[in-house]
Amino acid sequence: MFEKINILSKIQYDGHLSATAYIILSVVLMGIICGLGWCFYRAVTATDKSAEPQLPDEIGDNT
Amino acid sequence: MAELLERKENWGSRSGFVLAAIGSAVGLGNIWRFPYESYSNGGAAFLVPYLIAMLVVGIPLLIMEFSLGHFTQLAAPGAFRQVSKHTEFVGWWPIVLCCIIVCYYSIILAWCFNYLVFSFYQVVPWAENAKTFFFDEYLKFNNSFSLGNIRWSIVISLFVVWVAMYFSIFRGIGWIGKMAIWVVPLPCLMVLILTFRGLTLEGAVNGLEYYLEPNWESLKNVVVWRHAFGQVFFSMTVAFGVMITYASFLHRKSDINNNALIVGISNFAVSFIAGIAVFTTMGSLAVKQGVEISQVLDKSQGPGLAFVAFPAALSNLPATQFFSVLFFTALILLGLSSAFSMTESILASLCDKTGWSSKCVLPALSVGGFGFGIFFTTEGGLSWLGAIDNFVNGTWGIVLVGLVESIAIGWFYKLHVLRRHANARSDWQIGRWWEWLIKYIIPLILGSLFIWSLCDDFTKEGGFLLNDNGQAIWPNIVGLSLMVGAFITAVILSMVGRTDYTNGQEPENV
Repeated sequence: MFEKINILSKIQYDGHLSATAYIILSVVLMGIICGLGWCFYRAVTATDKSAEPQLPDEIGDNT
Repeated sequence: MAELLERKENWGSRSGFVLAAIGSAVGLGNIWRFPYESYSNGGAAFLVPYLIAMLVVGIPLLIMEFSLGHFTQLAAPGAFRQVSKHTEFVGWWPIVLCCIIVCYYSIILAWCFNYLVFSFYQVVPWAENAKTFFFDEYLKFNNSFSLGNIRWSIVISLFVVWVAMYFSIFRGIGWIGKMAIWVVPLPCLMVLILTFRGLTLEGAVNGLEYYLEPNWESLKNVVVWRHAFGQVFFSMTVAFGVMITYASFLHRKSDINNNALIVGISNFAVSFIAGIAVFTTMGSLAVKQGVEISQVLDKSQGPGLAFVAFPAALSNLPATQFFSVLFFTALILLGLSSAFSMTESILASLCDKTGWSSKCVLPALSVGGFGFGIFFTTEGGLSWLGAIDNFVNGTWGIVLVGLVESIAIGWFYKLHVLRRHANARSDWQIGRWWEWLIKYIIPLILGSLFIWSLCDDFTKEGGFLLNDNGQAIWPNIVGLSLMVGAFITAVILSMVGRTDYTNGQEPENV
């Protein structure tokens, strides 16, 4: 289990992409677009930015 | 009681900070390391452990560093001084390592700069044999650890790189933010153009299937998981002190969690898309040369990809000059934003500690970086660069720092205060799970990575510090000595000079 196995030998390369590869490509690209889209959506729609004031003595032993 | 202090300088805009943080995370490794790691660790199946590592280690650590920097409004050493008076060295440690890294990272940028100039030639000089040109003609590489002569063409480029870095930083953090708006999206666009170009080439699919065909069996192999966690850790610039420094210049009410997620996803996006560009182009090269794709791909990592394999592929295509210019400009911009983030981190740490003006410290830092960099411009410089990088930017350096950092914050600090601080101003909130990750899971993972590599090093065939004949293996001895030296320097720096870190003014006055 801990030894480096020849991972590449398990795949058959025939010069064509399988349906699985296309699905992975689509899912990853969609994931990136939707992930960033969600982040920007949250950034735009976030309204409550009134953070409570925090005090220096919460930080640690600044001695 | 006054509110927390705020730095006098700030990013000016959120986008400036986010893009600068992306620029710091996205570097040469995204282009020359991720695609090869993916290819050699199960193709698309590698994405599973990679994404898990990103969510479990990368983004939580990024949130931790952003929160700490933002909360304390200090660069890494000062921030860790606020954690406990005994942990300031944890902040200095990555800063000392950054000093070493930036010396040789700038050399790679100098090579890119030279190659950019070569790209304008009517016939690119590597057209005949890219490998011979890079090693024998350009570097005059002596394949040994004896230094040999200085390569003056590289010294001149190194000078240009340090001048560029100086002018990127000298006007302060607001200027970096403004520059990042151009410097970071531009190389991403160039990578995108190279990707579309690659996809149109004959043989592109042949290359792409080595990248995208999954081998699910590989997920049972723990080595694959180790590589995925290592790749995420190194590619997100966590534990370099850079993200703490960058976040310390953020406005008090700025978001933390969402920014960390944007940086993480963008870093992955550039890596993944760069992989498509690399594999399609390498596929076309293999078809053109009539060789097995694996023969081409086995050389497609590290400087071998950037200065041998990819230029060779480009020289076999129409419009060689145009695409070479595009490729090396992208490398320079990606590398430059990472390099000046490290320099800025060193600068801010020194200024916070000493109270000196950055206008005095930066020129000294640039001259020092240029001076030490000359060591790597020699004919044997590449050997030393590889040997030192293995230690500093590897398990002995950055992973160990990450491990100590997560233990310091997780076990010697009120983690819930940081979480509350991050949640109070973020677009979305993190739960208690984040504290458990920082306290238990991340130290466990980084500790395992460290011990595993330690075992690998000491059980290596041919020995680690001494070979089978009892002779010293000097590169490893020097590398290890540098690591010990960096640690001792960090401890000394934490003990000397002022310890009353105060930086900035009350928020109302900003």
